[in-house]
Amino acid sequence: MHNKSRVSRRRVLQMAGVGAVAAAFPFARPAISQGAPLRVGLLLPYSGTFAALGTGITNAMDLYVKQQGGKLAGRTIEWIKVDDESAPPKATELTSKLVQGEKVDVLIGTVHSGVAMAMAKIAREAGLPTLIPNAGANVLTRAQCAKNIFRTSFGNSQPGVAAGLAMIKAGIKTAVTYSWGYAAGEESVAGFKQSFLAGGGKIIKELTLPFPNVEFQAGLAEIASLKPEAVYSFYAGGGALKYMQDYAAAGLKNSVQLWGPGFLTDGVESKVGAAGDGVKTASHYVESLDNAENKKFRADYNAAFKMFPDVYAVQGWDTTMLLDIGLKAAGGDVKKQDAMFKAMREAKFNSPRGPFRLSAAQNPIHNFYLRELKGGENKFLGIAAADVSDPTTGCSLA
Amino acid sequence: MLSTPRPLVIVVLLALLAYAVALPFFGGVFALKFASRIMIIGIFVISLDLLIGITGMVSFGHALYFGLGAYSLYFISSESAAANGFFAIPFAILLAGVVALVVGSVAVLTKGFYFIMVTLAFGQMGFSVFFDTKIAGGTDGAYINVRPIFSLGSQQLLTFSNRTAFFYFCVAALVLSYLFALWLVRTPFGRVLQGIHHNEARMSALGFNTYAYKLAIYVIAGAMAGFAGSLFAAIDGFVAPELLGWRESGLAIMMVVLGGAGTIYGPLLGAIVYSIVEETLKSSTELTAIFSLFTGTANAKWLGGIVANSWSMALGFFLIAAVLAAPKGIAGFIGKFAGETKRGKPRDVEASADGRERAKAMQLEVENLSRAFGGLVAVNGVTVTFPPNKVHGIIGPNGAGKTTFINVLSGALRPTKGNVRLEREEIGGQKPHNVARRGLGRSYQRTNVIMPFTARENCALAAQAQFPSPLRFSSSWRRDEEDAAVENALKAAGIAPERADMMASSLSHGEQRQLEIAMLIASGARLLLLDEPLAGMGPEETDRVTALLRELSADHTIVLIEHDMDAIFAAADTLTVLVEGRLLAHGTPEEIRNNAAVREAYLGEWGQEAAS
Amino acid sequence: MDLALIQLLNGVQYGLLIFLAASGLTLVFGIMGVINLSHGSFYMLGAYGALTLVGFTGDIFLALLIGVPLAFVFGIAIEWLFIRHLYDRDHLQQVLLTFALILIFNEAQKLIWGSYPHSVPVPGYLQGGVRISELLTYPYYRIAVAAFCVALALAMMFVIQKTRVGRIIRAGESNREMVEALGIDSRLLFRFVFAAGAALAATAGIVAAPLESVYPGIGEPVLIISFVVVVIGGIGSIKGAFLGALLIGVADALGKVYFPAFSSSVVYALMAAVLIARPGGLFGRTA
Repeated sequence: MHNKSRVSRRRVLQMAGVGAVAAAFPFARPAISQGAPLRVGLLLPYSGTFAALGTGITNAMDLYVKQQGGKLAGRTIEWIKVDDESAPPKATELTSKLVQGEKVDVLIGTVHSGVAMAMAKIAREAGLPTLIPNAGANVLTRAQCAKNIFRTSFGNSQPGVAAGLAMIKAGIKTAVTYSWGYAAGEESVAGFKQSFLAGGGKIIKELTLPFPNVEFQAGLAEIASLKPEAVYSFYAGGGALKYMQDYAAAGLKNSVQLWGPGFLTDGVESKVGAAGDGVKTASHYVESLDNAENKKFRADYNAAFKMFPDVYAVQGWDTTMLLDIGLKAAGGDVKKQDAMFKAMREAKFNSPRGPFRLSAAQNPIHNFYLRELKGGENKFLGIAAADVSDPTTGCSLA
Repeated sequence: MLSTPRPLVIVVLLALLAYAVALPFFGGVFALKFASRIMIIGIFVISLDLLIGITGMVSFGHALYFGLGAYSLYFISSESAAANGFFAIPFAILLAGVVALVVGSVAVLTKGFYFIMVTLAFGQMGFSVFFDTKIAGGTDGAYINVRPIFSLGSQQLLTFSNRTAFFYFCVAALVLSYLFALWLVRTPFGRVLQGIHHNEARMSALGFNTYAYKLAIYVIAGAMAGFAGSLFAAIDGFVAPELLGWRESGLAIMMVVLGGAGTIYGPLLGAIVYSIVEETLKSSTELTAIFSLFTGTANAKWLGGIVANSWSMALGFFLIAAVLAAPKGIAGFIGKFAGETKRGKPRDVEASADGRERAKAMQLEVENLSRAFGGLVAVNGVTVTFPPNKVHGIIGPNGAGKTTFINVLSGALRPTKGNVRLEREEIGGQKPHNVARRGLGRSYQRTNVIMPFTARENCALAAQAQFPSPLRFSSSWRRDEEDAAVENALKAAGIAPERADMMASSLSHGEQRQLEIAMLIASGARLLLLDEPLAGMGPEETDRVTALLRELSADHTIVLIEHDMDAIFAAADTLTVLVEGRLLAHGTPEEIRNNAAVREAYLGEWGQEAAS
Repeated sequence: MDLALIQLLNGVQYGLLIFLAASGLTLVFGIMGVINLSHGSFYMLGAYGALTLVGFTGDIFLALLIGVPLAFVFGIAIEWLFIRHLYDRDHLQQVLLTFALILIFNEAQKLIWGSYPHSVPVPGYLQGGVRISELLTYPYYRIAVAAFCVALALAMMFVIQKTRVGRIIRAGESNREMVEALGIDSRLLFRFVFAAGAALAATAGIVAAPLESVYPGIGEPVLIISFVVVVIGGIGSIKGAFLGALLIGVADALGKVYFPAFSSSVVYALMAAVLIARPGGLFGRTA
């Protein structure tokens, strides 16, 4: 009894000291030495509209590492998560927290492009290995590329380029674009314009809606009056769900084909019901892809998380795969950057999405598949465009 | 009125300063950045407190200027070279200030809740310019590739790329901003702002152009926010449109309220506490450390993880607790420990024996004056002249239009028809503060003094109104004259010296009415319009005030509305009777007493008294 | 049908929905003088509630029948727990406290329903629509919602103008002390009004759910636009909220067609203009 109380009092004082230090100095962190776990910082949205994406990416990464026995290249992985709330004003602070506060060895992030831009600036200056598992802002692998920044998702223009090619192949001559007027939407439409116009198509009008507005009625009425053969639209998440429902309710579904990048239907296939039938999308992933990696990935993911993975999870998976390749080449030592980056740059592997490799600007070169939504599932119609890369305009690495 | 911060507060602030100065020696890069950010936001919220806490203008669009300051750094910096700090910072301040002037000239026309919404609207429109157009990189934000360098010619004095140098610059900037705000609030200009906060109508009636004052502080606060914004952009060299949005504006308001609006240092503490609390709640490592104080490590870790996952809910509960427990914010909370406020000691000024200028009293002429509210004609074609150096009473049954009449005379209402002339100059339809500047002062039916100010401070404001220009930043200019005017006014109105330094809210009702008259005297008004100055007074006080009014008429003209018939019959030189908006009779008390029509109008109300 | 006419129709229907959402706010602010930032959260909870209730009952109108009383009770609970401490405090503290409520409600929503978007089905008998041009159909459900909003507006105006409760509400708006002097317990009045405001917001959320998709954060835009409506229409005026909402809806729809780049600013510019011209809003008391 006597001993216990003395121990507990000392312990309380110790803990008080630790607590006081931790609370009063939220930014003092001890440096971690080699041989210790590999600290991987995750800058992802865990709240707000994009929370589901953050969770999907994290789940897949977790799964990969667990399957490797909790280690990559012999190093135990320690995840340090920071919720970026998809808020650009806080992004530099949160990235600093990971890079300079927590002193992570590797940085992985993010979903929102504005946040990614902020993150990339700090990452570029700090030089640590940085992987982008979603944000598609073109400039990150064009003018703002860097040797330590790798993207494993897509460039915003790529799905549009693929969709444009597929629409030309399908014999469509006239189109209207209707999409959110922010960087991601604009870059997606730009990609579509490029291939569609090059193939002889005509774009009657380009309609935009301020992000994140979801009152589509005015735009839909205009589309009906313009009478194009097809519409190309970039929306995502809850907005995409509403869009498809409004599109169908306005009676356009059967008269004007709706096309878009994969994000138009990803994550909401099962929710949209009959309203979504016939929506065609171009994406670097289809659930029903018939390759060994995809089958295994889907089974494993479902077993672990009781739901099936989406494209974001695949991107998360590929991120960890790429990191693994880099770490192995460096023998687990992130300081051996030349070896690590070289291996990552030259990496070629089979991802659940199909063959995966990187361009000189370190953006994925991958296939884009044509999908049609039917009965709550994206049905695989074939390859819309193979080996789609992204222009390396302005990148010093290229 | 805002006084010097309490000793405890000064100690806290100095401790924080010491910590900041020492930080680069033990903190890492992140620590410096985190602290720089907090200090910059501190400058931002101090500027907001000048609006919210000092002047009572709640702006929901203050981040507009913060964001503009940040983007101005982007505009002035070239692609690959550093901007010169000596140009960049002033440019940010200037840009923000100019936009504040343009926006404010329109926004300051509104008050209260509507001001909140108009500032929100302008903030969102500003956000839209940067978000919906490509003026500066659009939605994904823009980079400032090289941070500013302060150079004179070829000599580089200070570069923001040096993190430590930048940090100390921010420390200095914060200290200067805080001292600037503290100084500003104590100038005559600042005193008027505080008066406007508590009683804008009163200030206007004293002769201050409240619009000009509010616009001035809006611009100053905007420029200061722009300064903070430019520093913010220099932390990491990244700007995004969301910096101008309502969420950032709202966050700033949170910090001001959390810290305690109106204290200047409160919002700074609010910013610090809010940032640290949010940071801690998001970090499971730190939460675990804190919880370990109370429970075992495993439990602590589990609890820490849960709270970190739902950090925004924890933050919400924290804020609710803060609001309910500390209504005046952190500053108010500290106040409970620090004891009574120290009021400024009054300067020793002799009330000059013959100090009062023999001011020339003024004549008021009213010609065919009417005021209608839609179909209701409250004042109907009244023509009367009030000669100077006399006490003129206005009487009439309830609802006769007496207060409306006075409201038209003082400028609070516009006449529908007719003229009002003060010393032969037309004043009908002019704004209250202009009418007041001409020498016409009024008091109100319900006591309308500035409650949180002492009696002396109320009179000081009134005395200041003789020179009501907003650009009064020096306390010493005209100080002796104004102090003398204050002492004379207090003496003349019969306010005892020991009562003069008590807050107006602690004075008795009668003393407050006297204070109103004192303020009018101090303001130099030469024609006094008094709306029921004797209301609610007992017989002794009534006699005292009546005697005071007679004394004042030696060099003022007094026009007063009263219901106390004994008093007004005794005190007045002339009486004007209004019934249903019309002038029924005008003459000496004798003439009125014997006027049959008047007696009929009152039908026996005071007829018996007259008979006795 | 002419495109312009169709856009007008769209604007009116959108405006009616905004009216429903904003009506509760104007009552709460007008009568209680409380700035309630969590108003948008009641809308969101209504939408998510619809998700669950339609899951149970299969029909949106049944969901309405169950959901609205639930929302009313929930409103009473929130008023009793938090809001009633604020009546004598200044606006700023109300802002802070109700903002804290937003944080809590958002997190609660995420914990209960998760972060993925969902859709709520339109009832079977209201599927389809009326063809108004060669390609364009106007959904029956939207027409039903518009009619519902109009009916509710008329009912509210009737209650406020013609019933005893309405008279008390109108009196309480001008003079709280008078109302108390007349023997009416202002605490109960406030509780009722707040709960009614919450119920109206939730009703809007439920009814709009099949038109929207339900996902985190749908409450915030509703909050902002509700305040704009209240300001334009005049604080405390249902009639003002109705006309203000219609004005906004039409301006928004037309803005999208003619100024697509700045359409998000059109509404704000409109509000600023109204405030400068008529400081009290269209039907409010002038300051």
